[in-house]
Amino acid sequence: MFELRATWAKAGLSILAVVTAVTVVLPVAWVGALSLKTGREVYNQKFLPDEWVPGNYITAWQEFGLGGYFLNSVFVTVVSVVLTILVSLLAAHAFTWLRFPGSDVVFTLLLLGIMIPPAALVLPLLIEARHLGFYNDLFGLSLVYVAFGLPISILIFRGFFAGIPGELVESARLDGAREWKILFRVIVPVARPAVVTVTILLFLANWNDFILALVLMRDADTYTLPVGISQFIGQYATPHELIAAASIIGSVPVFILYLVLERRFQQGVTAGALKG
Amino acid sequence: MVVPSLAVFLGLIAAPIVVVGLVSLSEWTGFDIADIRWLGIENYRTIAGDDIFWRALRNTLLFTGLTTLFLNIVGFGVALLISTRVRGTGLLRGVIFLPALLPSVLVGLMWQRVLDAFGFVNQILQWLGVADQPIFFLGEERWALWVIIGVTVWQFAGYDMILYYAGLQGVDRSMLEAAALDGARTPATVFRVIIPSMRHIVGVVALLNIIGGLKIFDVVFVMTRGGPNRSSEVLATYMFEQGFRFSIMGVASAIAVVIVVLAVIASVARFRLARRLV
Repeated sequence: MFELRATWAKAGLSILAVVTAVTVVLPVAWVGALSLKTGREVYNQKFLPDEWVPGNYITAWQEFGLGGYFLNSVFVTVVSVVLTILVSLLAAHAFTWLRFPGSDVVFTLLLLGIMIPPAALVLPLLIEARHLGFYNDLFGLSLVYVAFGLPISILIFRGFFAGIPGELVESARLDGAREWKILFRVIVPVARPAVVTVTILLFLANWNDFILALVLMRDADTYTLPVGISQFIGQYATPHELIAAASIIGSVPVFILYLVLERRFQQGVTAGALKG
Repeated sequence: MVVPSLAVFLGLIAAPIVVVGLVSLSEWTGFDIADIRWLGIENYRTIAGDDIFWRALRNTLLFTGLTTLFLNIVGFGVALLISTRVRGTGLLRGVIFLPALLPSVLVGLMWQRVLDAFGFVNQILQWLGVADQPIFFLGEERWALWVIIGVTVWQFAGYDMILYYAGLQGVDRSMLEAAALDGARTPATVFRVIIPSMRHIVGVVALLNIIGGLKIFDVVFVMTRGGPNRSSEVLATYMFEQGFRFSIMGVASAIAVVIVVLAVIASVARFRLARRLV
């Protein structure tokens, strides 16, 4: 973008880039080192442990019951992402190809959901959950995630569908295909980039959610990873090195996915922010 | 085909909005629906006369304003830095976005350790000789909110960077070349050419930060619970406390309504601006 002629300017910017990168990484690296220390070394001034204790990870996993939280997080994330995508694909198809009277009104109504922060609705959602029986229920939590994920998904899918030639749908209709078949056999294969974008956005929102799961889940065996781990900080006796290990364990899934799909993540988040 | 979406939306977003509005006009402990009592606007009078509510609102707005400012400066700066493609920027681009993807709860937990009396920051401050006693960043009123602001900027700077980097790719090359031919220096090019041509993106990114700031909850809840002495209390944590610790559903709902109103105002502004982007 810029032509930098002076070598000193390049060198200065390189140093700035590396220093910034180190500022980002160092706190996490320090927590990583902390997670490998013995209980006695936690309070010393050294960056690296004298005695390395990888066993902290096994202890944290077992003592905090992270395995169960992990499975719960996987369950609610997978169920909610799959359901949101199915339901919003159907809606986007109808809004694009089957325009019905009032479809613009319904579309706008659904989009209003983007504006509502989940935190503001936890009280009424808890009341509803208690009375309708989805309190403390992983599937119920997944449905709430579906509700908050729908608006952005529909918006992105409809935006993508609008760029697909109408003849594709017309010719499939002439062949006598039903609408849902047209959607899944003709449209979805073309719209794969949009599906990837939406999957990434929903994965991040639902895997990382804290407040909805905190309010809607009562028992430890229904906690998701963020809620489960957060429950242990209130207990003063929890050793620092185990909290550090648990934080690292909880970050690993996102970290691995990001390493594998770096560009896709960046594109997905950009699309979600600028189009949504 | 629209029915499933509409049903989920009506049941889990529209109905709760109505419920929160109604409960905000009543007195209720949240347990037996038969005990609910109509109050009118009494709860709003209560929060209007409540110092802690004003403190939480002030903190929320201060947090939102300052994180938005710092995030935009850092995010835009890093995006410019990366677009020079000098050595080292590849590394920076790889790592700076990562914190934005992590669960805020875990980011809060990690920073709680990093900032504690035996933490990394205090170790460095003592090593540098800046402080001889450890500073209790999360235990002192004058530090707590600033710490939350700092952690949030650390976490989401990469998010703004990604958006600005995408925006920079859309800047008209010929204008940059013309500026270079005129002998414009780099800062002049940035302020006279790049920023003006990106002003809509700046607006959208700033509004996204504002929307994100208004609903701040996770990091505060994990790191300070709004303390010490309410110094980092924000609207969402205060609502949570009123509703779930003290079971004062009416007051909590009134606070929730305030959050919704603020978020809707910011969102409407964002949509109006985003339309000009395309």
